[in-house]
Amino acid sequence: MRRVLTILTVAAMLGAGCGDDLPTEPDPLPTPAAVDVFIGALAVGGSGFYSFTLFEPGSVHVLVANVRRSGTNEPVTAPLALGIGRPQGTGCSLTEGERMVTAGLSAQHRTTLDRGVYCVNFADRGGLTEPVEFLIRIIYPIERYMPAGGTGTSTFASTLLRGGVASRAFGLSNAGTLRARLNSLSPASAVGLALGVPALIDSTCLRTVIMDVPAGATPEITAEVDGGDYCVVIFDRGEITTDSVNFSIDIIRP
Amino acid sequence: MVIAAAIVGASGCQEETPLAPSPGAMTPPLTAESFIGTIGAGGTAFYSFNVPVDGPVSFTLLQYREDGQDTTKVALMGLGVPAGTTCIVASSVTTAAGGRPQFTQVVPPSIYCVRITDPGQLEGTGEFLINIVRPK
Repeated sequence: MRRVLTILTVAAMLGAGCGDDLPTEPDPLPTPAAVDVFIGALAVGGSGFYSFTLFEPGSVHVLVANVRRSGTNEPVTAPLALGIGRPQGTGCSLTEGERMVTAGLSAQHRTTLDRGVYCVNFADRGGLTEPVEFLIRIIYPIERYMPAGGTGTSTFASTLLRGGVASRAFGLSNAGTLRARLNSLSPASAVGLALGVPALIDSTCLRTVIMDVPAGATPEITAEVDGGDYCVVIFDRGEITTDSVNFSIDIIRP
Repeated sequence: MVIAAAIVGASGCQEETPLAPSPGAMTPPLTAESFIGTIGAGGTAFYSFNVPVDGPVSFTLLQYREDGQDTTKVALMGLGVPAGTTCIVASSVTTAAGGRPQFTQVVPPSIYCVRITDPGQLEGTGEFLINIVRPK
C-alpha cells in the first residue's frame, strides 16, 4: 500500500482509561448501518486491508466501486482479489474464499456474518501492470441500511467547458437499473459520459461505467446499482472545439 | 515480520488487573507471540490478535533500538481494536523498553490490536520487539 485514506463512520468500540475493562455487550439501542469507505492505493503485487466491527449478526455488502490508474481518472479493468477475513498479525487472514472482481456499482461480495471484528482484503494477484487507486464501499449490517436518496427522474443541465468536466452527485433509495440519458449537447461534440461514485475527499466523480459519445449522438448509459450515493459525469475527451457546450442529461433512478 | 516467543507476563499497570489471579479467580491458559517491526519518526505500526476467552492481555516492549542502537527513548504502546486501516487505541502507556510488562488489561473475547507510536522522539528508524501475552 503506497497511500491510504480512511473514512470511518463506525464508532470505536473501546472505552477509555487505564484500568477500564473493555465493554462486553454491544449498545442495546438499534443503530443504523455503517457505510465505510476504504480509499487506498495498490502497488503491482500489493495488498491492503480494512477492518470493521459488526456489532450484531448481519449481512455485509462490499462494493469495489472504482479502480483507476494512480493519479488519473482512467478506470482499470484488471481483476483484483476481494476477500473477507479476520485481522491477524499485520494482515487480514481470509475466512472466505477470494473472488476476482472488477469495479462496478453493485456489491461484488455479499455475505452474512456473526458479530465480531472483520476485515476486507484487496489485493493484486498478478493482473496489474501499474499502480492503481481504488474506492471500496462497505455497508453493514445491510438489514439496517436505509440509503437517503430519491426515485424518479431529474435533469442535470449545465455548461461543459473545453477541456473540462461537469458532474452531479445524487442518492438512490432503491437498487435496480440506473440510467443517464444525454438529451442534448450543443453545439454537437464528441464527449465522454460516465456513471460512478463521489470521491468524497473532493467534488470528483470517480468513473466506473464509461461511454464515448460521438458528435451528434444522444445515448443512454446504464448500470445495475445498489441503493446509495452515485454521480454522473460528462467530460471533454479533447474533441470540443468551441469554448463550451451546453448539455442536458436526464438521471433516471430505479 | 512476526516470530513466536515464550514470555511469561507478570504485574500490571497501575489500577489494571494484574496477570496473577486473585484468590478464587481463574486465569485462563496464556500464550505469547511477538510483534517485531520498525517505525520511522512519528510513525506507527499495529498488530492484531484474537482473545478467545475473558482474560488478561499484557504487552512488554522488550527491545527498542534506534538506528541499530539500544535507546532509552519512549514509545506510546496501547491496546485497541482494528478499525479501518489502523488500530483505534483506547488505553495506552508511554514507556521505554524493559523486561516486565508495561501494560496489562483484562478484556472480553474479541479481536484486538497492539499499536506502537513514536511520540516525536525518534530521529532515525526505530526497531521494536513487543511481546504479547494473551488468553490461549
